[in-house]
Amino acid sequence: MDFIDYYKILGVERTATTDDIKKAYRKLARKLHPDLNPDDRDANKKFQQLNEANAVLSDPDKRKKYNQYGENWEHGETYEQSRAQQQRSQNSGSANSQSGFEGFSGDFGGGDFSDFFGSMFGNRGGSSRSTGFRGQDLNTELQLNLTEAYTSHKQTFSVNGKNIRITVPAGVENGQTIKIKGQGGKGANGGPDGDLYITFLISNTADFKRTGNDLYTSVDIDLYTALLGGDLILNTFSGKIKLHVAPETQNNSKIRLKGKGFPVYKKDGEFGDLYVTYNVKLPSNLTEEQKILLKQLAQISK
Amino acid sequence: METQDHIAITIFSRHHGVESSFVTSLGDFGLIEIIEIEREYYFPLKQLPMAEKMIRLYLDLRVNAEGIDVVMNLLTRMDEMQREITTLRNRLGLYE
Repeated sequence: MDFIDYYKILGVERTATTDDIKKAYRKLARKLHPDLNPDDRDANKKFQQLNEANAVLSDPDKRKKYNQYGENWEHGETYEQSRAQQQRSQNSGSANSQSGFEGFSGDFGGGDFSDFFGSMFGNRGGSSRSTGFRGQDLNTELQLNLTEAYTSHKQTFSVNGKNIRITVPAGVENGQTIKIKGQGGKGANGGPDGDLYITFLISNTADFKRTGNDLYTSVDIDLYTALLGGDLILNTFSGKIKLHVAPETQNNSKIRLKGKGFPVYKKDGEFGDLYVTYNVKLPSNLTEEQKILLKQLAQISK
Repeated sequence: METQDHIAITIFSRHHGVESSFVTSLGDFGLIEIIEIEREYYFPLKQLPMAEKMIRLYLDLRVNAEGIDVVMNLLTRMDEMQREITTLRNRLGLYE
């Protein structure tokens, strides 16, 4: 746990008046407010710190205590108590995230103050702003590779201690967010529950790159296959495909395999295209016989 | 129209501690759709997330209904641009 400089967060001097603090807080709140910075976790985190700084510095008692202990906060009276409490809660703590998931709350208003705040002021209370009628929305990210995104599959994960099982539809795109209705925070006074938003992060594989529903890959072919044509086997997400290389195929030429690309999101049986680029590899370490034949070839090609 | 798909403005306003007139003004700006059923005003439950966002802007940042109108328009544009950036970035991945 590190010391947090609340004056620095608010950008005010230690001698700042209550009015200066209020002004600085409002100015920064207008910039960092989560509703104005959707999907910006950095801004959301800063907004929480800002609320915490404001909760301390705008309260004369808390500010006095903070100034008094300053960086020697570990000698504070509440520290020992809270440390004992923390140890207890750590023993009974529950895992919050699994395999690639990182849950974070889209809520704000200082609900989650730092350990530093807790150790100095005892409780972890946030600000007293009104909570929503509707439960808060939760956001989470899910990392998939292209192979996983290629087929619809079920996935279980936990967000805020709750197990959720979803079907990831085939063809989901990198950066796409899907909403799971009613799986967010509980509503208040009979209000509806919030929703859970899952953003998919999908990375290309070494062999395949994807844009939209199309896939791109490249295969190496030798000079002789390029010149004379031939067959080769290509491994794709849907299995092996036999490719017929046309005679006199140029280096870097591209062919399109219709319907052999990525599944189209929520459109069963529809697929994008697969583009294959041929890399013609010239032979090296030529044998004497090959050299002779190539010279002959060069001669008759003049 | 069914009231169960709607929330009464009086209940919503009381919960958030704002005047009903402020919520009504959001309706005047076309930010929420207000309907009247037996002398009670309601708005659709599906607009609740948006309405609560506007309440937060009002209470947390003291933005008035006009300002909220501007903010909501800009946020919509930002959202569209963000989506376009994601699409373009994904396409750019092809050349990396």
